[in-house]
Amino acid sequence: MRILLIEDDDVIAEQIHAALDALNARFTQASSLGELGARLADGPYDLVICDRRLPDGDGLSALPDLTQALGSTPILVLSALGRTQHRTEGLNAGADDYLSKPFSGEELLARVNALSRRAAKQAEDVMRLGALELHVKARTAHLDGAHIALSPKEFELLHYFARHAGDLVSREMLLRDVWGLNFDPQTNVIDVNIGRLRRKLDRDGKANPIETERGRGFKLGRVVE
Amino acid sequence: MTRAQLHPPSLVRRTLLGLLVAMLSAVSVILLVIAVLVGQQTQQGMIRTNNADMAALVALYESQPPEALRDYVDRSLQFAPARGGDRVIGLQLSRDEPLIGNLDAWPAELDAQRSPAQTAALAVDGETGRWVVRATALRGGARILVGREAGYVGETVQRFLAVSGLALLALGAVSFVYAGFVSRRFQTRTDTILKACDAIAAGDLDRRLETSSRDELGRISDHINVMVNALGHAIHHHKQSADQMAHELRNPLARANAFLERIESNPGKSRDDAERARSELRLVVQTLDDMLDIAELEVDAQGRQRFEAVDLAALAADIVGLYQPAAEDRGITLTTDLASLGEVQADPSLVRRAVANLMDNALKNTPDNGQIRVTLVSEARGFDLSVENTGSRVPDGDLNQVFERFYRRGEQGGRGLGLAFVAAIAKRHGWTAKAQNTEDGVRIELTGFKPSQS
Repeated sequence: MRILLIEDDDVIAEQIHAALDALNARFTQASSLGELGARLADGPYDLVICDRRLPDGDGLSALPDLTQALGSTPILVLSALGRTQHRTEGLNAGADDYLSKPFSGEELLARVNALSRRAAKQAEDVMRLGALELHVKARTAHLDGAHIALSPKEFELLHYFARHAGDLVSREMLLRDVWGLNFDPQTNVIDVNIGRLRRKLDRDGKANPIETERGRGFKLGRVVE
Repeated sequence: MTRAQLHPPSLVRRTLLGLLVAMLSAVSVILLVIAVLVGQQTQQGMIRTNNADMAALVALYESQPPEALRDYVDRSLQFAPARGGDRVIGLQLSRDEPLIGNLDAWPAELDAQRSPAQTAALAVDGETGRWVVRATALRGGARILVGREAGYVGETVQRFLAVSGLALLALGAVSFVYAGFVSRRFQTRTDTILKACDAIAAGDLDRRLETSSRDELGRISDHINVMVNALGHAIHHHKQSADQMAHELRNPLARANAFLERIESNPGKSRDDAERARSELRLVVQTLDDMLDIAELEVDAQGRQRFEAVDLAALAADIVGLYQPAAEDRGITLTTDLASLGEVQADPSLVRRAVANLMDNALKNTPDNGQIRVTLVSEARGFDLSVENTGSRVPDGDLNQVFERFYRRGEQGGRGLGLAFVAAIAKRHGWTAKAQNTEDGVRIELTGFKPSQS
């Protein structure tokens, strides 16, 4: 995986390297907008991670050029300008995701995974993940061939997990993508909702397919037959 | 100091001088018109008396012998007034006879036959001047001339103009001095206001302008004071919330620091402490973001451009659904009564957040096995969205404070910004947020106007 990293802060760049270590990624770094042109020529890339407050301007101003040069390569904006308004600006400017600093390495890894697999999984109507089968249009789910009764929201949640199967899904991602909430509630509402969904996926003697990673999020693991 | 700074352009001075010049010009024109009219009128009068004199002389000439005529002319001339009516009569019985009357010589320029009324240069009693004359030729070769001194008209008009011109000059001088006085007084008051404004701009926010007068300047000062009051309150408020924010951030930073120290001294147990330190730092960032978001919601009117049609009932149901399992786990009965009232213009992500914050707040304040009730009803001109929970009531004096930043009830945790956010979102939408105590708990409601569906 080749990643174009546009970032002028070396400490943050190091944190990004460490967080994405598992992906065996090769990084090409540009420390300013001015350097970007030369680095673009070294492409192609599978992902762009772009800071905003660069020494010579707002990283968002480079997004049109990036899109033109790299086509549909996903762009993740990673910036200290992290308020809702900034996020909206970033997404409107053409970013595929927007993560605010300070960030946790795990959150970044989860976002990067989601971005790089998103395109492939979105179009599928019937999704089979081991013993779990989802019919997206009919909005039904079967486990070991048996129908699971899910509320529309629970189906949406499970579908989201299926699209991110094997990847860590953070609370923030769930709130944003399933409930349209750009913030972190003070109560444990997400955990309780996931708890409900997990109970419906419980099978005797087998591990629950939705794993809880304490303090970090959740993951849809292998659904053994 | 340049000339412009010493004498800054003055609206009052310019206006007063303009008015003065306009007034003096108008009065001058009026005086001139009066003078011309008086002149004309006087000349008409002379022509009329000339005609009467002429008629009397002609009648005498035709009915009386020449001696009687001569006597009449002499007597008439004796009664002529000394000034202002100097009169000339010239009567010649034939071309060879001498002139009777006070005319020295028959003027060459006058047509001997019949002359209409006109002015002519005459030599009368040895003096030459302009006269308004009437001359006529009679049967038998006689001719008669009567006239009044024209110069009198000019003199009268000149005297009138001279006197009124002097009066006008005096009036102009007095007005000029008065205008200068008024404009200087105005300048002094303006300078006082400007000095106070400069002091306020330099940071003296307690300085106020004098408002003893109710005239324009007094009212301007009044309004500046109101504005400075409002700004002062806002600045005070911001300073207070900055202080408060610094205080609020110190706590999680202190805890993060403590966790980092524990990691240093006991590396074996570091993983949990690192996670705790990170979560404290997350709290710092969230508090900062929320504060900035709230501040922006309160001031930035541009945000309304992001409004779109939002189905409030569906949106509320979605968010309430997020909280339903958490409520059930604690034995809390969560009931909803959401009337579908069509769409309102709103920023959907903000409204989601407002409803989530209301639910968060209710859940935190409801004891286990309590009740939460979410209601959306259509009002006459809008809607009323309320979240009501059982539990301890808010002290009556605090009901308005629940929407303040960092207001927390009792031992309840959290950042203390949830309801402040709700209030700011309400403000952005032009809605009102209100807290009330109920019989067995608290009810927080958002009331808004529904724009007419077009």
